[in-house]
Amino acid sequence: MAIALSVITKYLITVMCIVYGVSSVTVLSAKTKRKEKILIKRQQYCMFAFHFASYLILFLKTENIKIALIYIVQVLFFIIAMWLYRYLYPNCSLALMNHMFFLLSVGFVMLSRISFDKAVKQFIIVVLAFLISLLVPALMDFFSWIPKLGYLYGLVGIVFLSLVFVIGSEKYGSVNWISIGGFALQPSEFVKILFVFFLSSMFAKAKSFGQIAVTTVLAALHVLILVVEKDLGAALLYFVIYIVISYVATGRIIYFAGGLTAGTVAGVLAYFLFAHVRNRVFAWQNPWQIIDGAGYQITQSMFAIGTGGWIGSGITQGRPLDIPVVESDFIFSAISEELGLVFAILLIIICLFVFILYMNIAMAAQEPFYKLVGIGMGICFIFQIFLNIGGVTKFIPSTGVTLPLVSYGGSSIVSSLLIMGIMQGLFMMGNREDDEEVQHGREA
Amino acid sequence: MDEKHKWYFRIFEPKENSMENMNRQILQMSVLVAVCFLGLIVYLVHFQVVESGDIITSPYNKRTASYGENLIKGTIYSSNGKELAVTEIDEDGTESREYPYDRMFAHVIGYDSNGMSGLEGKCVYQLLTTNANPFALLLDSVKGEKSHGDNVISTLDTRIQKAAYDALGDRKGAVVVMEPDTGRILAMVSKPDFNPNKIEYNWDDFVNDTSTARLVNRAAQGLYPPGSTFKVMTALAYMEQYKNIYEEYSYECEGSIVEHGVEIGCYGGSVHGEIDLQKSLAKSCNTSFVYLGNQLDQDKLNSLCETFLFNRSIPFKLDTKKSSYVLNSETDVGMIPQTVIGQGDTLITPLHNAMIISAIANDGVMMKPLLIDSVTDFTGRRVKSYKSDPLDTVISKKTARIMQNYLTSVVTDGTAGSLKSDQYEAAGKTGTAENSSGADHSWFIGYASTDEVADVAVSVIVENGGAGSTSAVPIAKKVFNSFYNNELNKD
Repeated sequence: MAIALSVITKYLITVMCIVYGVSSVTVLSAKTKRKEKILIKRQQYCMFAFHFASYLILFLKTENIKIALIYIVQVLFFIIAMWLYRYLYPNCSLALMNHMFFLLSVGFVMLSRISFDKAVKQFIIVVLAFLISLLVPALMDFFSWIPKLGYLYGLVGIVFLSLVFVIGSEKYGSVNWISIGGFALQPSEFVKILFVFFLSSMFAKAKSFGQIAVTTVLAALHVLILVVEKDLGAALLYFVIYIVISYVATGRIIYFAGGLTAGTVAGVLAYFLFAHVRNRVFAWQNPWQIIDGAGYQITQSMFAIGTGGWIGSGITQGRPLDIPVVESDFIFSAISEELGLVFAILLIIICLFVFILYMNIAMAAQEPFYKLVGIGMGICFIFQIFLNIGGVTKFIPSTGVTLPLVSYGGSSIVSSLLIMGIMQGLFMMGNREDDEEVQHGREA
Repeated sequence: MDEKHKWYFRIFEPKENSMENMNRQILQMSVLVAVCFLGLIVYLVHFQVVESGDIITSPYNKRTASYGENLIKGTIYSSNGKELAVTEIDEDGTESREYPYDRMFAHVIGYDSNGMSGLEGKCVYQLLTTNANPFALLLDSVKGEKSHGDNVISTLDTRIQKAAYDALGDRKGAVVVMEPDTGRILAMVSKPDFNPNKIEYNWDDFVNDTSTARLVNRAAQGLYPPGSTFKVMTALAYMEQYKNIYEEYSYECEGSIVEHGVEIGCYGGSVHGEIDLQKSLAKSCNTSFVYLGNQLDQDKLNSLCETFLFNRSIPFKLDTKKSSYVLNSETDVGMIPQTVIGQGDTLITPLHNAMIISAIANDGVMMKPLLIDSVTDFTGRRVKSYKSDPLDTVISKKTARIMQNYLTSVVTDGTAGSLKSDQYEAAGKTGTAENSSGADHSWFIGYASTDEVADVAVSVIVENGGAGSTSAVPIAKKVFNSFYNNELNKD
């Protein structure tokens, strides 16, 4: 009977995710407030149903009362968090809020299935990070000097990134972690926010090539430090953020085309200069030849996705633990294996919806600085997803970055939630400016 | 003009940037992102639909085994509807995998335990998953019954397999029987063999006994010197390189020849006298082949061999070894005399030799060897059919037809005379391969037909069996007889 239930649930979960996805599209074009409210509610029902069904199967399989407890605590968290958001920020984007909780719930479910201890740890960090991110929109409103700090963001960023050379520790071949009081922090996860602020602040006021050149040198220094740390994923991410912001700010295609060319040349150089880059590329192109060595992780990931098929094996029915570090970088493969490729592709599409909402926010912003912050954060979010999912599915070489809001990892979760808070802040800023404009219009 | 306003400075200066302009650029970036993700999603769908089926059957994928906990493994059938591997369930629900033909299909069907082998290993994914109606499956699981995995219908025919198996007897070697025009493998025998029903009890002995290597499927993985069967390749190269004059080829065989300081004699001390290319093949005249082989452009011979899949991996459901051919214009010329008559460093698998003779019988088109006919769900509904797949046109139809004539004279007027029959017309080439393990290996590759179209091809090797005509040819005859008797029984 438990098997029958798990078979039924796996189809139900796919259906719920489809309903969620469809509501996400229709909510964008909802004509009336009432219609919008219904769709927002429907999304939340889908999320809670998915969360419930998954934990039910987990509980039946493990018969561990702790699973039931963490489920209840999580439901309470979702309900209180949703209420708090709407209470503190009545004008916030509910669509964005829903997506945030949906992605978090997928992460919770998969982590509980992979490792209960990690799920608990992750949950605690999420609660704390969420509370901090709640303050972000208010702070953005309050501190009017935020757009003006310019160089300070860049310098602080470079100092933080360089910290790993002094008090860093190595993990998976990259020296990009520091330990503070028992917590392992990944500075590049936080500095990327500073980096976006730095570029936005500089480019928003840049009027000449000279100013841009200085900005570019400082940005290149960020990337260089990351390359030395062998954190290739972050280096690539920062680099792409730079070329997108510089292009959007200047309107000069030379920054985009030149950036891509320089990036390609640097990539080819890195390939010939560094053995670890060559190894990555080889493991990407010929993983089956080195299935016992560097190709093990990616081939296990492909097995997971392929064997799971469209609908998945069902929660607890797969073997995600065959993939090393499945809870962090490779969580997408575990999702695809147990919840199915249909679910996994819908997850990608939901991430794209988040990006589209970010872009809407950026386009609605009335000041160049906030526009650039919007596009910068958007690219930061979506390009990291592209690197992660592309990497674990062998679409591109693996670069070792997390899946924002879903992967296990404190630094990643905190920075993803901070970005969410920043975007909510921008959304409300944009909406308020709209309202003011409307009022001016009426007065005139 | 001010230095600062030259065009190469200007293209770096920020444009006068209105909000609308920035929004347009944001939109462009969004479209770019959408295109990247569209690519990713298309790739994932393509992976799932096209690639995943082959990938997930890898033995490194431990997932398939755990699927078996919820499904009863499907059955492997022969093309004539007999069960070759089937899961039996006794009264207390214990499942066991059984092989009704015991040793007969040991290598090609393989076994389920000890790391799996043969079709059992390669089809484990199909056998342990199901394409049956999800509602039927749900009903089963509600009733608390296990559902069945899909069944695999192989191309193997138990009657021909039995004929080949019995004919080879207790000797070491291999037999591959193939349909030239479809590539379907009708039989694949390797000896020494083992009983897959008892593999677990005998496992340690088998693994430790490296001298007999009875677990190895010699048909697909045994590498042997091709001996005189390689003269087919040498003759094809000569026909290709001397297009206009090969029909006038003539050589006076005096029983022995010296080329590049190497002396080669004809088998058994024969002296064949004046012979043409056809007769050189029919009599398998070594001296004539050394003489004509020495006139060949060695690079062209090498590339012809590669066209015929020497040094290449053979696309086949089971694991295969690559045949090897190393001679070219840069290697030691002293190797040419042995190599053109199939000795030297050349090695070939029986399966590959079956593909070569099939390609000639099929007018020059080499077919991909096919071992699975189709997959059905447990109700018998066909869920996937495997189609015949031409690999390449390796020689022209004209050359193939002339070679067919030559190979027919091997039976009518040469070393395979015992294949003459009222029922069918056979053709082929014998081989006697010297080797380091003792007496010569006995080879035969050939095919049989009742009309223009070849019906069945065979590749036989008997290790240390002596001359091709004495050991291998009689096995081929039994296979052909069995094939045509079955054909008669069909009607």
